[in-house]
Amino acid sequence: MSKEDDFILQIKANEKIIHKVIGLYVYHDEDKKDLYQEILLQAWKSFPIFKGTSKFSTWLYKVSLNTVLSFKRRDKPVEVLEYEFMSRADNLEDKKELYEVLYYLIKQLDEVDRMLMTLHLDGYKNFEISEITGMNTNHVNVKIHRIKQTIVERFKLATNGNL
Amino acid sequence: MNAITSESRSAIHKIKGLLIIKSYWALGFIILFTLLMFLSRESPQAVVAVGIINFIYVIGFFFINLVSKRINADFSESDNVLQSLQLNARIIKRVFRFEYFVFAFNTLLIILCSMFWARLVTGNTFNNLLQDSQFLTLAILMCLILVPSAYLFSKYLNKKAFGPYLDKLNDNINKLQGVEMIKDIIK
Repeated sequence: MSKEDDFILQIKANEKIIHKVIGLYVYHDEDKKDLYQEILLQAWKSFPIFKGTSKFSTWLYKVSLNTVLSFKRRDKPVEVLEYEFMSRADNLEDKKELYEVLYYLIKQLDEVDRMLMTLHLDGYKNFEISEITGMNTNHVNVKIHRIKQTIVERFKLATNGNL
Repeated sequence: MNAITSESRSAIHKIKGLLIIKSYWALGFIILFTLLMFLSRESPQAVVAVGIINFIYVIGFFFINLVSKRINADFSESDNVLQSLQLNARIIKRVFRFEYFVFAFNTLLIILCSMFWARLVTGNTFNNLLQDSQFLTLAILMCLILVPSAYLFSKYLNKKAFGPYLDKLNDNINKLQGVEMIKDIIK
């Protein structure tokens, strides 16, 4: 199997990571397309030096996060999202809606907190999050605890206490 | 998978591109100065004056290209997000400092070249000009006003183009380093 085929296979198996990261940080459609291409390009450029000491998914997460956080992007205001959310917040029943609300609340966090929460929800242990982000493990512990508290408070506010 | 053969659109790549464009500006000046040398061929001292500055531009052209080629923010497997962001920030700041220097130095060269050339082609000599206090005062004044202005203007242009981006980058770096947590504690 050629290097390119191997790369494409790995990317196809882990593509949702790229889309998840882009979806969390980018609103503008043109930026989403640009970033998707950019992440693939950065991953491809770094692929020859990927030695497999970590899982490909973890490495791709790092590349995606790094690319998104260092990309010069256009920003779109989130007022529209807020309106859509508020109109549905009182009537949350199924898991899909709850997931959407959670996703929305995570998108309201600042960029670093978003990264931490996403990695946490994807099942990464705090020491793994520390390795990916470069943050001190204690710092990760404290931050995740605080972010969870923030999300719960905002959820209560948005649903008038319905949690 | 066309992405893997496409060009990067990252901030670092854009800055590299802008640096290469600046090197072509240097090339433009080289052509202009070569033309000036030809036009002032009757005045050897004018040719020498412009020639020296032209030579500096030639070195500058190759040096800018070399600096641009050496910019490398490729992601290494062992790098974490914080290290990569810090590398990006360091590269950008270094390139910008280099640009400010080039812009200011370029302004200095143009001032000196144009002032000396304009007088040398009309029959003056270097010795006369170096003894002409009015000429020297004017040259020094122009340099003192325009060179720092060029430096500040270059800073302003970069701040306009990349200011919010760099602020965000530094903000994220501080958050990853835990600077905000320390600030919260000491408040």
